Amino acid sequence: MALSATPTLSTIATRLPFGIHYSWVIVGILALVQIIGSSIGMAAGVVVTPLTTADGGFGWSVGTIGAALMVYYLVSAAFAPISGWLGDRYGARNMMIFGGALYGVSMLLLGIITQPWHFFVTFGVLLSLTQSISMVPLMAAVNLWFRRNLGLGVGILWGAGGVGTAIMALLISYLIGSLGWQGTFWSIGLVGGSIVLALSMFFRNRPSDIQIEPYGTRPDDPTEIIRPDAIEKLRIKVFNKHVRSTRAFWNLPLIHGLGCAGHGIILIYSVPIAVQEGISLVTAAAILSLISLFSVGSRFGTPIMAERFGGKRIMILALFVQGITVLALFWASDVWMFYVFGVLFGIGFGGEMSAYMVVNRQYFGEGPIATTYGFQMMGALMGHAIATGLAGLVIYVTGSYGPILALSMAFSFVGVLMILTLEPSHKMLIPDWENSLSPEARSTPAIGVASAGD
Amino acid sequence: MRSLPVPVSFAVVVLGIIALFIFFGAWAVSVDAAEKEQSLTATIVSGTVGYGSVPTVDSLSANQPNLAPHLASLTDTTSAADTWWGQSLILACPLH
Repeated sequence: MALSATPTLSTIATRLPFGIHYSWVIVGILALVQIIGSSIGMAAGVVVTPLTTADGGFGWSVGTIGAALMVYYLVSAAFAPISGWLGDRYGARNMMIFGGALYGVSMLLLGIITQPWHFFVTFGVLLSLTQSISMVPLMAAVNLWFRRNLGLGVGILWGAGGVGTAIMALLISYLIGSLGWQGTFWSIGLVGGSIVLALSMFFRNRPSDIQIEPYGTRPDDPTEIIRPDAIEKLRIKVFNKHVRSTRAFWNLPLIHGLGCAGHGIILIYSVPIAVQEGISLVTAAAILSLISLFSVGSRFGTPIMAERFGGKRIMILALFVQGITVLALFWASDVWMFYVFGVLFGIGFGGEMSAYMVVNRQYFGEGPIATTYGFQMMGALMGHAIATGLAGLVIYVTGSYGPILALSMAFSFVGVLMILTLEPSHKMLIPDWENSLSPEARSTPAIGVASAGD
Repeated sequence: MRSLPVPVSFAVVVLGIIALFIFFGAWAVSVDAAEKEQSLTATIVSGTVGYGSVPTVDSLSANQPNLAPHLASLTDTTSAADTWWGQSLILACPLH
């Protein structure tokens, strides 16, 4: 009886060619969503010129745009843990449907803005909510589909995000040049929103929705149980309570924030530093392209290595590389020096951000992790906002780029020190969290009852 | 130790970042009051970049320090030293 509940997808899942597990379909869907979602972040960089020049039809001040972008980052940060909780509570599929619709509507509205407050609402609020949904529950969703090899699934998602950033930057720039403001955002909204909504038809929250086990499940692993809604709600509450009692819950968002602060400064100021050394703006801009390009490999590889060698040591390595390579900018004067910097920094930069899902698995197991991941993304976004604001102040008072390079290194190295305070990766921090649940709410009720009896 | 609701390392780093903000913020307000009226707010507001994104050349140009006077002309702001937050920063920093 239960097997006939979702016959269509169940049939598809068992008939994928070459024995491909449906988890890889889920990874493909989420990777496409990450590529589409990255258009929001790229739009933030692209919209400055058309909004500030009279040719663009707006002629608003840089300060107005900057304030709206700051609202965008702060709203994204504030909403990140909430969107994670919503994903845990109502499922990633519902969040995908909501996010796809919100993406389409927001982009359509962005296409017809005429006043600054329109921009604050559409970009600063609506699209920041969409961005949070894309970055948190729709990234964390992969967690439920992999019992093993989670690092590979996460690596593909992060790699896709990196490729998407490069593609969307070129695409949005081209569209604004050829279709204008309205045409660009209407076409992006319609196409992107439609794709996400269409993909949601093939997406499922968890393997048990189509009567299969997560990828990498062994015969002796506990079978996934479909529970009543009230019990799922209770499990989320108890799990998050246990997670909040650990030091890692507090330190991981801070580490992510420090890491993002470290590379956020470099992403803003590496090109102006090169220009100050007499390199042309266009030539210097290639530094950012190299950073993006070489971050793709480490975005992909870091979660895999974290799973194999332990998240803690890989995070230390990535953040150390990110920090130490900044030294090169103190002496860089020729184009090739900046390009070498871009390559090396890109490796550390890409690795800094992509291991968290695997680290969460190692510390917190297979529980509903999206809320916790949301707090980590909150730290990351706050790190960007705080660091760039602080860097602006430091440049303002010192009139030099040197101090902010030191600040970037300090953020990265303090992050390394903070990682050293974390527990070893092989130590699960809340192994007994399900003991706080009634036996019927546990993953392995039979074992739980037996233990209690013992 | 458990009376502290957050880990000590977390609290130390967060307080350190707040202290940096107060120190450089108060310094900037002092400079602003002395010689660079109306340029501080524009400098702070325009210096933000998104998570996982890469800023364009245009947005990067807006962050160059030598553009501060230009940015100031684009915004309607008062001197930071005259604002409540400017005065608060000066008050909070023992070194300024």
